[in-house]
Amino acid sequence: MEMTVTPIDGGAVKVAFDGRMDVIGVGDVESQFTATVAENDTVVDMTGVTFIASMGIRMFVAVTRPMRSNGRKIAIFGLQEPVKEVLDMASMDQIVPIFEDEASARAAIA
Amino acid sequence: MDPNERTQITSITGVAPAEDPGEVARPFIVLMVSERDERAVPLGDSAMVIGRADGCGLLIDDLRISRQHAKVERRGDEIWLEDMGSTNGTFVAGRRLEGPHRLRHGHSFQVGANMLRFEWRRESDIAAAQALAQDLERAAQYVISLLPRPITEGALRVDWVYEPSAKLGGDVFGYHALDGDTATAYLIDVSGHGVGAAMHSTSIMSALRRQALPGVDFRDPGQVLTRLNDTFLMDDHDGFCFTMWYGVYHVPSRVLTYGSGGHHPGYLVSADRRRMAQLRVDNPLMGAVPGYAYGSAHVEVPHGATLYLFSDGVFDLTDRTGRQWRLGDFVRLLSGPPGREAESRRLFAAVREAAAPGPLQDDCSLMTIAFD
Repeated sequence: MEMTVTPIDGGAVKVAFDGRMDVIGVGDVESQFTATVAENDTVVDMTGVTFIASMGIRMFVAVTRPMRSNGRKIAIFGLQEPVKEVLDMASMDQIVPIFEDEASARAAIA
Repeated sequence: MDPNERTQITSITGVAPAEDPGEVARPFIVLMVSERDERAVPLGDSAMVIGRADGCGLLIDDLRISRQHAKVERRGDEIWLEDMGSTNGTFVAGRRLEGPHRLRHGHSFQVGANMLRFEWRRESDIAAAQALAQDLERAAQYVISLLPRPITEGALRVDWVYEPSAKLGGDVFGYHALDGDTATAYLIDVSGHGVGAAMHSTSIMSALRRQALPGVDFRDPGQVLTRLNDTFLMDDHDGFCFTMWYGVYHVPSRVLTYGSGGHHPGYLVSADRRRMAQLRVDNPLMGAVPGYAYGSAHVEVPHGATLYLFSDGVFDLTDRTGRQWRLGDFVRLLSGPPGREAESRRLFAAVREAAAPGPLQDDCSLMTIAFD
């Protein structure tokens, strides 16, 4: 899986993922993602993610708690339907804020 | 410890293997023979042809692959895969290759009905992998030893399939009587792989089996999930979180009370297979949110209904056309006609039939509970 980090307004970053967020995909990006969100308010662009498995969910859950205690913010947007279904089943919106579009996600971390 | 001393130790252990000439990593193509069996063939200086003709570097006896089907070749430090004009194609992540494709460590590809994987391996890695495979096999056997026997007679008849994946996921499930009138069934899926995930799932299961959550009424799914969540917080348990479904059936009233944490629904299917209820409560996955109060819901069970509980391993798969399955693809199978074999076996056979060849990626757990 590919991961691209772009600076956005207000010193925050946008992390865009592209590919399958399965065991291999998460292995490709996990340490870089964890390091990035530890130091930045982050919006996560999931537009390019075609599939998410439980390891992907675990990655988001694992970064969220330390971020909250450090005062960092995160918001996810751009879920494809199959990815949305998996995150809905995991009730992920109770753990990480999820938005339809980038503008709403950015507003949430501003 | 003196900080300098620590630095020195780190550098010695960090550098030594790479400088040992016997420890150079070599490229291997690994044919996955079954869930827990593989054949690893080292890639030499010349290209390795994969096919069913004599003389192929990796000979596979399978009529769906061409005589010379694909080749893998080393170019410097890079490993490239190319289809050789085969009839049925070579696939990476469900897509048919149309040109050379660079393989990276750990990536899989499909040739005919066979899944293969590319890996850099060192001799010590190979020995370690064999030892790990033995550990995983032992851990899988341990999990199996904890699973209750099917119940073939009575008000509740329970049957199941448990197929651990090669890496061993964190699935466990169980059922037992709570008192003369009530019984519980549950399914737990720890996210992650390996012995650690399996041990975590078995320790959660142990708390349920021994009813070792002081002050908790095990007939109340909300109480059970709330306490398990706080007992097995991921921050205190090596980052492991889990999803689960927990239900309690009261035989005289036919009421099934259930709760779930981050888990897809259990499905209650009527005797005529025309009605299907999704049993799920909108609660987050377990171990992630300290202090969360898990809720429950209940349903009256019609006569002759069947409850299906399963882990995501039964639908997290790519089918033979290369399409990623979703929950709905598996759920469609539930309303199919019963076979001669046990219902859980019928469903698992249908999953294997639909799935692309090769080992399944995750543990498959599937439990059916048939009510009078």
